[in-house]
Amino acid sequence: MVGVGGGFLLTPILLFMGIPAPVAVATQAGQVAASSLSGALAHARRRAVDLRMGLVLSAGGIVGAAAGVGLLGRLQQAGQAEITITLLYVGFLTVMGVLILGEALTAIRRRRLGHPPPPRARPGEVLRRLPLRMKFPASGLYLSVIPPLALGAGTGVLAALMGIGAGFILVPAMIYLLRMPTATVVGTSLVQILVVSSAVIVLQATLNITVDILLAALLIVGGVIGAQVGARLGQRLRAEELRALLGVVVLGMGLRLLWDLSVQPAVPFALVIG
Amino acid sequence: MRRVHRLIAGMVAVMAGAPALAAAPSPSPPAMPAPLGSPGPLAPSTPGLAAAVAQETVRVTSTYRGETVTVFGVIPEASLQGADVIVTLRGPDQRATLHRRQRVAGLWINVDPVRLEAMPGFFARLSTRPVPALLAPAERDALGLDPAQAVRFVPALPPREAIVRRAALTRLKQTAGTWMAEGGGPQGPGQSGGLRLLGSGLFRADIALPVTAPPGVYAADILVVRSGRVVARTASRLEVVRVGVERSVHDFAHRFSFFHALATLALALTVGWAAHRIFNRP
Repeated sequence: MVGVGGGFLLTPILLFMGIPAPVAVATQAGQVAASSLSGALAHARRRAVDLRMGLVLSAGGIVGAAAGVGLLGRLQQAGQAEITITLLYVGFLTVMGVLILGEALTAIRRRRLGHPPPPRARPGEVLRRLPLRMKFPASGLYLSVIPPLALGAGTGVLAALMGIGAGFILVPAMIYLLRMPTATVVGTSLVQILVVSSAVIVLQATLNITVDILLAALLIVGGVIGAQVGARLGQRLRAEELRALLGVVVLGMGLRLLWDLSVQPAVPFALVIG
Repeated sequence: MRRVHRLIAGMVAVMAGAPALAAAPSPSPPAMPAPLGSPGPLAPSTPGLAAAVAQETVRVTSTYRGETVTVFGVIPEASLQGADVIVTLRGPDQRATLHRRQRVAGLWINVDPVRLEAMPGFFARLSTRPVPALLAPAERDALGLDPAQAVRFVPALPPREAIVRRAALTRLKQTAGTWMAEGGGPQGPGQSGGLRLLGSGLFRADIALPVTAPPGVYAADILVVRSGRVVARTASRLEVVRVGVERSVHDFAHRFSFFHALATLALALTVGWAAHRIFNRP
């Protein structure tokens, strides 16, 4: 509806419902896997997927996810998992909320920018000079595998820690950093998100035992239905107002999480079970 | 084992129809008869007291929303004069750490973790009168009437810090609803202690187990107190068990975590694929 996966809205809601943060982010990966699979299949049918690039990004993503899951397990043992996940979400929701709201308000005021934003600087000579170059015929690229591996790994860590697909980082980075043609970017990013969220499910469920299959089933089915309802609603409602509203909601969630962390607790101690 | 022994001893005595206290109506403090089983730490088991938990098991199903368990019993009429009853229900120990929350850059974060041992996941205490009015502090602690006092900190803490942490732990558990004293919520009806003694020596304690009370064996301890001394004591138990879907899923997730992972993944991929087939028509 607004061009984002929407996984990032689910975790705060689960947190407000009182579900432990590690369980929320791990279980939500199931919903991300389901929606990215149906999205990737749709793009694949239009041949809008660079499978080779997708696999290189995925390889990095799996390594990043493993690191993220391991880190989360350590944080859980140290009793710092809740606060780390919450803080990541505070920052993330605040930035997303401001961006969505700002963009929507601009659109509402019809204050069109005279020129499209200036193209980013060329993907510096540094990126071009890296070794291990590989051909990506579907995207018409010949570049080192190191940037896509690193990009995949970075988003993999986020996927594990936050339970999101991180498409909002992946897509712009693929366009501006890897200079992929926009036609294949979304489909390719969905391949990476599918592989990484699948890896996250398996790793979280086996290493941290933080996946709840019943909650996952609810989220997966709810996510699929919600996406369809959203798509239908989106056609009827005014898109800008809707986005402005979403921006406010996202920003509100971020501030609410921040408030929970900054308000003085009644008892200046915390009990962490397990 | 001691609790079990005491329970068996009590049951044997009740079945044999030997109300020891009734046979020897004693002025307070009563001369305690020789215990039948192994002696308790302070109070020998007294066969005159009959008490039990109404439910032997509490079944946690997928629709479980907590349950009220009832501990009931009867004090022999002869020893009823001036007697008070204390009922405790103690759940299985939980692994936990207690952190101090410290303000860093405007945010309250967790610092200084201390591991807790012998920390019951659930604890309830009901009594005919508030326990502080019935027993001296040392006796209360020895009888395990204050769960925070029995908790061990790892690493060990200096005494003042331990006092602060025990108080904080009590408040946190009471707020969470898994520790309760004097019959209910965090404050409770302090006057009554939450338990009523009927004229005939019959008492009944209703304890609300919240959803968050952990599964496991729960030990009920029933004390009869007179003039600051425990004059009779018996024990009972119940078990909170996961059953049905709830149990299968929990066992599956913990024992066969890899297959649980694959099942979740298969579910996600099946639904994603089905959504594609249904909604993404060309």
